[in-house]
This record gives sequence, structure tokens and C-alpha cells, in this order.
Amino acid sequence: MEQKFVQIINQNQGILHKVCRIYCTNTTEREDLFQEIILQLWKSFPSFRGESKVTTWMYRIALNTAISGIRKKKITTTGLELFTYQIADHPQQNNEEELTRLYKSIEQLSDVEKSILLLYLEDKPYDEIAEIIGITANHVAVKMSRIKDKLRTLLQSAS
Amino acid sequence: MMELEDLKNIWKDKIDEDINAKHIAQAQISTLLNQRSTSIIDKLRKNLLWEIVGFCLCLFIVICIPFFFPTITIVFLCVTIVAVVFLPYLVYYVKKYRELQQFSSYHQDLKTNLTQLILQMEKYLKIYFWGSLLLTPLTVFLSGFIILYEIKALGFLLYFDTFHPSILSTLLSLALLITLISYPTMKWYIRKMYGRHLEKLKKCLQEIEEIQEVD
Repeated sequence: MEQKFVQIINQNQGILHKVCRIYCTNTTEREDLFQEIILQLWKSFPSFRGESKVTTWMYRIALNTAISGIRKKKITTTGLELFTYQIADHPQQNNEEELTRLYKSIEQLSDVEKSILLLYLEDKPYDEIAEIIGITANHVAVKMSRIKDKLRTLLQSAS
Repeated sequence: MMELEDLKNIWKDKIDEDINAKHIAQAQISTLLNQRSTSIIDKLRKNLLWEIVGFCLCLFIVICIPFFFPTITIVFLCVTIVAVVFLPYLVYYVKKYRELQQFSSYHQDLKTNLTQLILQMEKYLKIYFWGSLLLTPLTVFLSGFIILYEIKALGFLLYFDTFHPSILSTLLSLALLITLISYPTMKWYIRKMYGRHLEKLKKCLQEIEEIQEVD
């Protein structure tokens, strides 16, 4: 069972890194959250019967852990600072500036908004987002429209 | 100003590049499985375990008292305290501990998980608060009584009658006063430890429920 679990995580670990990047502002927090998500996935793995897609199951546990599972420690360094330092030497300046603004704006969203936006950025259909959040697809569409408006305003003020 | 769809494409390009650099090996994933969880439920479970240990220690002291003071009144008092206060609470504590041990709602959707987690946390905090508050007067009264008895046994304060009603009522008043003082302190401590997290969870749930009120 452990081997099967490790294989699944290995194939889909990108999901976990993305959740950690969206919710954590520094490397230590990201590492702690990554470890906690793995532990929660492992704990839930025996009861996973394959009723939903593996990725849906992983997103559910990862987002639940990120939002409600752990208490955040005091932030010493912002993720944005780290990210800016990382991209400083990168050649594609324009795209990176836009992405930096996107990160900066995402940081100002609520935890629920972050989860919906992440799933949207990952091209998940509204039905699947609804299944992960626990609301209907129509409500996801309404909320997504509001998040887009909010993000537009945040991006404008960041530029 | 770029459109959100463009940002989506930039996100995908950049995030994949970033994540590939963070890819960890299967062996490292296996190692992570042996680490300790730092989840809020795990912390609550550990705290409850300490409460049970504290309760058992007090229970042990109460059970020992009749062996040192074998009078009918003392035996009756101790048996009553054990039967009415300690045993029911201990059974309840162990039941709650098992519930927390088996609690797992992270595989459910965000809304269900938040609802269940809030419910569990509120239940636990209530038990923790009232359990600690209940232990305070018992601990103060028993400690005071034992200290006075030991002082007398050592040859000091010989004029003192430890069993005199005035001494017992003074000890009882002191125990109640300290309990009264510890009430706001306990409230502050619980709020400091879990209150903010609980408020955050409630806020998230409220946000999800507000989305549904759109209709």
C-alpha cells in the first residue's frame, strides 16, 4: 500500500507544491505544510475508494489542510520577497513582472478565494471546483466572477 | 493591463518550471510518512492526553487520602468525589480522546470539513475549559489540606485542628476564590491558544455560506 501511495504522490506532487506556494509565504512554512499534507493524505489513503479522481481527492485534502489543518506561525519573510529575488536574474522580464503582481494580488485574497482561484488557474471545470469546495457549480461561477473583479482591481493597484 | 487569461498562461508556464525544481524523490516521500503531524486536531489530542494524565494524578491523590485519614467522613467524601466528579469526567475525557484520534474530515469537501472541524474544536474547548475549572478548586483545597496536615505532622502549628470546620471552610473559600480568578485567565489562555484559529475557520465557513446565499 505504501508503495502505491508513494507512486501516486510522486506522480501528482505538483498539486501539493502549488497549494503550498499559494498559501505559504516563506520556505519553512511551505515545507511544514507540504509534510502535513503528505501525512493527511497518507491517513486518508486507506479510505480512498476511487469515487472521485485522485487529483480531486488530493486537492481536497491539500486545501483542507492548508486552510484549516495548521495554525500559521509568525511570518518573518514574505513569499513575494523570496519570489522577487528568485526571478531577478531571469530573462523574461515582462512575464515575470506580471506574475509577481499576480502573486502579490493573490496574497491579498481570502483563503477560500485563493482555493477557488488556484483551481481556476489549474483549468479545473466548475463542476470539479464545486465538488472540492462543497457548493454548486453555479455558485462557483458567481464567486469566480467576483474573484476576477477583485483580482483585476488588485492587479491595477499593484501596477 | 494583461487579461486574466494571459496571467493564467504565465502562471502555468512559470509555476511548472518552479515546481519541477522542487520535485522530491520517492524515497523522500516515504521518509515524510514517518514524521509527526502538526495538525490542529493532533495538537488538541495531545493536550487532551495531558488533561487525562493530570486528572489521573488528582484521582490517585483523592484515592490515597482515606489511607492517611481513615475516618468515615473522609472516606465518604473521597468516594463521593471520585464517583460523582472524577469517574464520569474521566470516562468522558477518554471518549473524547478516542473521537479525536479517529477524527478525519480532510478527505471531505471544504465546507463539510470546516463545519465538522469547528464543531469538534468547540466541543473540545468546552471540555478543556470546564475540566480545568473543575480541577482548580479540588487541587487548591486538597493541596492546602495536605500542606496544613504535613506542617502539623512536622511539629509546627500544633494548636491547629486541620479538620476544624473553620479551617475547612477557609480552605474551601480560598479554593473558590482562586477558581474565580482562574476563570478569566483560562478564557484568555484558550482564546490565545485556539481562539484565533477557530475564528479564522468560522470566517472561512461564513464566506462559503455567503456564496450560497446568492440565490
